[in-house]
Amino acid sequence: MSGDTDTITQFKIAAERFAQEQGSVERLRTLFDTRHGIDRDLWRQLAQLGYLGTIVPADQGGTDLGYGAYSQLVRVLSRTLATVGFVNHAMAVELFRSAERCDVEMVHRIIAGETIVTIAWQESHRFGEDRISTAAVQVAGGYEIEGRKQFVLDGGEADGLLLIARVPSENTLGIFYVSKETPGLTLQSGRLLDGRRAAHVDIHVRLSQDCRLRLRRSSKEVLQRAFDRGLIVVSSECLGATEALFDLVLAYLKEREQFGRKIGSFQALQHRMALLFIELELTRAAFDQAVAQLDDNQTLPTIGSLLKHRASRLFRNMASEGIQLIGGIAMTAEFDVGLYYKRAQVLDQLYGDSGYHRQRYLSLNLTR
Amino acid sequence: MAKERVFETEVRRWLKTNCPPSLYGYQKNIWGGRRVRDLEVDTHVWQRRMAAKGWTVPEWPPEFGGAGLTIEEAKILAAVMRDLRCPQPLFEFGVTLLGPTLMAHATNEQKTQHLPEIAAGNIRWCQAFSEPAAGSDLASLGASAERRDDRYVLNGHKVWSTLGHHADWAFCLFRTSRDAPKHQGISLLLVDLESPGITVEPITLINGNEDFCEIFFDDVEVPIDSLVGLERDGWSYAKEILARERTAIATSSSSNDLVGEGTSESLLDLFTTLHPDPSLDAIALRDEIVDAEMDQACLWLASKSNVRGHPAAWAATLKVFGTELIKRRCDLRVRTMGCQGLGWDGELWSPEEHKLARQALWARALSIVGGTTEIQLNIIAKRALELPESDS
Repeated sequence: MSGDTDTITQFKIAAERFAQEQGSVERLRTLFDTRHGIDRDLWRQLAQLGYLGTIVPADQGGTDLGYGAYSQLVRVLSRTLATVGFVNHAMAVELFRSAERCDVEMVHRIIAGETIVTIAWQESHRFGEDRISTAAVQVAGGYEIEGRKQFVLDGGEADGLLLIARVPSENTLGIFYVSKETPGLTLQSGRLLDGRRAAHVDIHVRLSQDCRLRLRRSSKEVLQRAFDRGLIVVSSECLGATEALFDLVLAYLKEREQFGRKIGSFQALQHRMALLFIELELTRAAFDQAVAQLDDNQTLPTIGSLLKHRASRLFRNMASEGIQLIGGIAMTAEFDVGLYYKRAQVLDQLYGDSGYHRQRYLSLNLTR
Repeated sequence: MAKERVFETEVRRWLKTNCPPSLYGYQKNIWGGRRVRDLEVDTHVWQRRMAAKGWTVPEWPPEFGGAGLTIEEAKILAAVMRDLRCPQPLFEFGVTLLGPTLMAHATNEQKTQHLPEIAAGNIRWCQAFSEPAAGSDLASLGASAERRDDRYVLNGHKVWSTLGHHADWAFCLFRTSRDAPKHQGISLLLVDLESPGITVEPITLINGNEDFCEIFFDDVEVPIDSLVGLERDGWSYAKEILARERTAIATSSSSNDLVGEGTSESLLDLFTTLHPDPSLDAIALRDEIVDAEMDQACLWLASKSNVRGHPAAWAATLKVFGTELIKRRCDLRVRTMGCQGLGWDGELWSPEEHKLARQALWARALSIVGGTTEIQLNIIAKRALELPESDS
């Protein structure tokens, strides 16, 4: 990462300002009225500002400011539940850049917001990195791939999929780029609780050789690296949304009166908020340190799982407490808390819930 | 930069020459005080040598027993000591809790009387604040200091004085005025525990230790210059001292070691050793353990950051998170060991197992000492969240 501290600080200030000006929960409400699951206008603006190139080096068309900057962007925009493919974007970029000869043109198109790529990995109701049956069999000139992916986030919105499939002849996982026009792809799409859309994808395709990413390292290493970065980005989404929700609930407690006083003066509620504050502060501090270390190339193999486990559970708890502390009005569609609650449910399942990451953390530690 | 390297070289040379080899990696606290200062044992030879260098309190001014080091120099000294595994030469409440208050508020005579003795490890201090009827509500304390000519006469009953039965002097809170409003009638006094009329009695805790004491004051006469600062400012001095105490506990409970758990063996390793092929019921326990390990990893990361937001709120955050986590982890150790974690004494258990059982009992106090978890939540609600004053 080549970005210096001043440039990164400037970026963070600009991102904060952009989020304040452009960020609004109304954007998500508007999305519900469309048949889209991605706020394309926001994505276009982010591309124009060069924000999508934050995690790409200059010689591949990016600004190389690193994950500290990118996750800060995600965090501030997630305060207003920005609904775009932050996570898939990071993972797609990582995967394309892991190729022996990086498809620089593809990376350029992704950064420019012209091509949206999503990751087709999950195959059941719960994510599992290795729970993959989709198989890619080598044939003359390429591969025949058979299988079914489930709950592919933004599956119907994307221009192409990075498909993770087993390659039986090599006893390994392979990564394949499949454009949406490829014959043999059948999509069923649906809306998730939080306004995003997901797709089940039936795959009966024949791909040429060059659709497979030829990697510089083992696919296991490449996927783990991309996955850990994706997890950091999901955690950023969770954290930003949790922070905004905390502020929202706190403001309500200071304003709402019952029994002749502000409900925020009741100690029971004060203590619940203080406990949430402690978790939030701890998570924020750990997150900032972890991301700084990542950009310093001090890799922590378990950091993705560590953060995701904590951040998604915290967001869920905050959302649950948020509804309870505010009461009846928080159950209305008109009030914003419900939108946070629903986003928390979806992000929890995205790329493995707390239990999944607890198990992953354990496995990674035991094998070290 | 070059000056710092010269300093580091000199520090390293001096430490290698003067730290007794038996003390490398020494883990226990090295206390000072009248009872031990002349002992001819390595710990106190070391303490006296470091005191002579001013390195028991490196950043204190030389006239008060320090070496007048800059922050950077003190960091270098600490780093080299860590590197060579030299132990801290003096563990002393007079240094950590009282010293800064004396430097800020005491008279020159008081500073000269007390600070060098503290720095030399000659006098050991304890804190006498809480009372049976004044714990969390410390400001409601009733022990009195009545002014009579050139003396104060002290009467009252203090409790929870850490290691009071080993201390020489105590810094205490007494009520000097019953007319003034609650917080303004409180004063900070320095008392020699050998004064007639003082009785110190240790309290036995559920872990068998006697770490806390009651101190009884029965018409104890002390000179007028026992008073620190102004009579009506005692509560503000107390708040400073309590904040320091809170920060110290916050730091130690989020430190990058397992000292709070009484062992150096990782919790997960303990489980894996005792359950190489865990049964279904043990797997539930393992999940709790991994959660605790992940919380620990996050705490260590978070504690590297600088103070965030309101300082009292950050200390409160670390204190609550850190102490509640130690309790949980000690508990998990005992549960992992099953009945092997329940030994009080006798040959069914190893000395290490006895120690772990008692450590887990001690851990319950961590969310009570230095301001209870509930008090910390109040602090956060007030200072960080700015919520309106609570009921009553």
